[in-house]
Amino acid sequence: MVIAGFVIPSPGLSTPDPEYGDSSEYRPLAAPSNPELLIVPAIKLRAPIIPISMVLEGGVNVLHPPEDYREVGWWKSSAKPGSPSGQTLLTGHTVHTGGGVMNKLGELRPGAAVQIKTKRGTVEYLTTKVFVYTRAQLAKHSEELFSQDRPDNRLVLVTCTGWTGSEYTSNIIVFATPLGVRKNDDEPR
Amino acid sequence: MNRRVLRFGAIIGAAAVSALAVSPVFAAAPVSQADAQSLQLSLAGNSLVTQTKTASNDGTTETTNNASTLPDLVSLIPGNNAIKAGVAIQSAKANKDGTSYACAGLAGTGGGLVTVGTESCNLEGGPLTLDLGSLDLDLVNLLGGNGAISTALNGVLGSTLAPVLGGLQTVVSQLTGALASTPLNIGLSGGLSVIEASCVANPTKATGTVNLLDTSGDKSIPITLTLAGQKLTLLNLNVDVPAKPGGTDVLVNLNTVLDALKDALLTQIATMLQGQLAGITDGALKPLLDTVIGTIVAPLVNALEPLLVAVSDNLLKITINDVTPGDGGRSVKATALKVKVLGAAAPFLNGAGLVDATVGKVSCGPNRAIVDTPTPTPTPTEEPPGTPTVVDSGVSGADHTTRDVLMATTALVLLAGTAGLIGYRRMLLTK
Repeated sequence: MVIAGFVIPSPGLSTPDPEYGDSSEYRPLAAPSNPELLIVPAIKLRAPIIPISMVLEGGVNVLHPPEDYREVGWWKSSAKPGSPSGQTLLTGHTVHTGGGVMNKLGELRPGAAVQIKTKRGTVEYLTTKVFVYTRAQLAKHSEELFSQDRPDNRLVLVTCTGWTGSEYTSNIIVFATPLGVRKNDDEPR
Repeated sequence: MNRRVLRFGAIIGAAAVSALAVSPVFAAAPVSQADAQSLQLSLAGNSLVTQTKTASNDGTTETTNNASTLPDLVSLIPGNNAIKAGVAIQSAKANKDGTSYACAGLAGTGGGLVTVGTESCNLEGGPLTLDLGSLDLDLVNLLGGNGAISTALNGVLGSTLAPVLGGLQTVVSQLTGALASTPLNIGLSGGLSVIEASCVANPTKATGTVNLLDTSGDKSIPITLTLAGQKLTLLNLNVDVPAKPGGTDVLVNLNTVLDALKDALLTQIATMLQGQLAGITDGALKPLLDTVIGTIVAPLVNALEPLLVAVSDNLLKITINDVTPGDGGRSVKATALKVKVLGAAAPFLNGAGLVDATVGKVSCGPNRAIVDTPTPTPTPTEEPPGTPTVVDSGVSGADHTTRDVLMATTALVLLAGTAGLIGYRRMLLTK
């Protein structure tokens, strides 16, 4: 198994998939809907999504992903997939020894496809930006990263990085823009 | 949208918490309640009948005490100081639907309780003779004791008979002793068929009624006084008065009582004086004595009048038709008849002969409707305002690695063991 892990090639740098380029193939989701499943083919991420809340800890607003490191958390005060505005914030754990649901988020590249499955259909997104902020930078830019004042909708994926042997010092942040639901998607509307 | 939902949730949560805070108050109060007492009676300050039937319901179970039947009144009430009645009935019922009722009172022999479903009850009965009290008044004590009597007698006799009576003090002593050994009998009585109070209550309203009927169904019942063998009507008890809080006091004709007392006393004293002075046979003195007796009795009685007024004022107090609502109309107390005989004259009576009775007393409510206890709604956790400034999405893998290593080691050991067993079996087969 260990050997197999080395043999299987890492997805590495993703390139835009031509399948996700044509906006005429998409339609909006009938109505905003709670996210249920996150699929990122490029990094083989497929994980259930559960709602999570922000908590106040020591005077700081903290968002904790689900305790189960194989699940992804949706900040339930953020926009639902299909919303015309705001930001949809998803976060999952990175485990420095491996196995965290978002361990490979940093390997994602602009143009990579992201899918969020809801009861009304699967909304597809196109990755537009992958970058790292220190904790201090994230705190400083939290409004622009996570506020719901944004006029158009954006997907934001966040996990941790920068393991020092005792703590994580930074966050990986991924922006993705919604394309919509494929017109041939036969999910219930 | 989300914030609206959160606000709505917060309001629902707050309402639920408030309901929970209030609910213990409701939990402590019974759903329905009623009690009934047919007769409360004390004689000479001693309680003889106090039993009350009580009923309450917590919404599932009715709790009652076993006091529906009173002990035999005849055996309870000593001598002739009695309220004699056919049947003393009291019933109270508390239903789990928030309704309750009670009825209590006295009915004539053969009477009984009539219950109307689970809603109400009333009494029915044959003629009932109500003996309100027969009192043997100790006149000497009633009128102030030996000292007071002697002073009065001395005052009258001394000025008129002293010249002709040598042993005045002896005569006074004899007269006082005769008064003390001849008690004045007072009897009060009336005829009724039913004395009843009843009530019903539901969660919003309680009503009470009282019912006093004489044997012929009239609404005017004569209460008679028998004094020194003479019977006179003290009052006509008009029971056809509207019920009201506190009831209606029935006024006794005090002048009638006072005149009766004075007449009785005058006759008695005159009779005794004549007896005491009967030994005087002097023909010249006899007419004078008759004149003197006629002259002194009236002043003697007049001298005692303040005491007689005190007796007559407190001879009888009757209150009827008391229906008093409470709790904003959700409860009611009803009492048919209260009787107090010589209540304030106790010091003169050596504690004997006092009657203090309440006949037909009920209460219903306050009741309440059964409400489903609201299911506690967990208070939604209010998120702080703003956006996350920390996303704590990193996990130390120590536990995870240890677990994976243990699982891998276990798998390898099992694999090696299995391979070893297979190899050993092959070796045995090839031999």
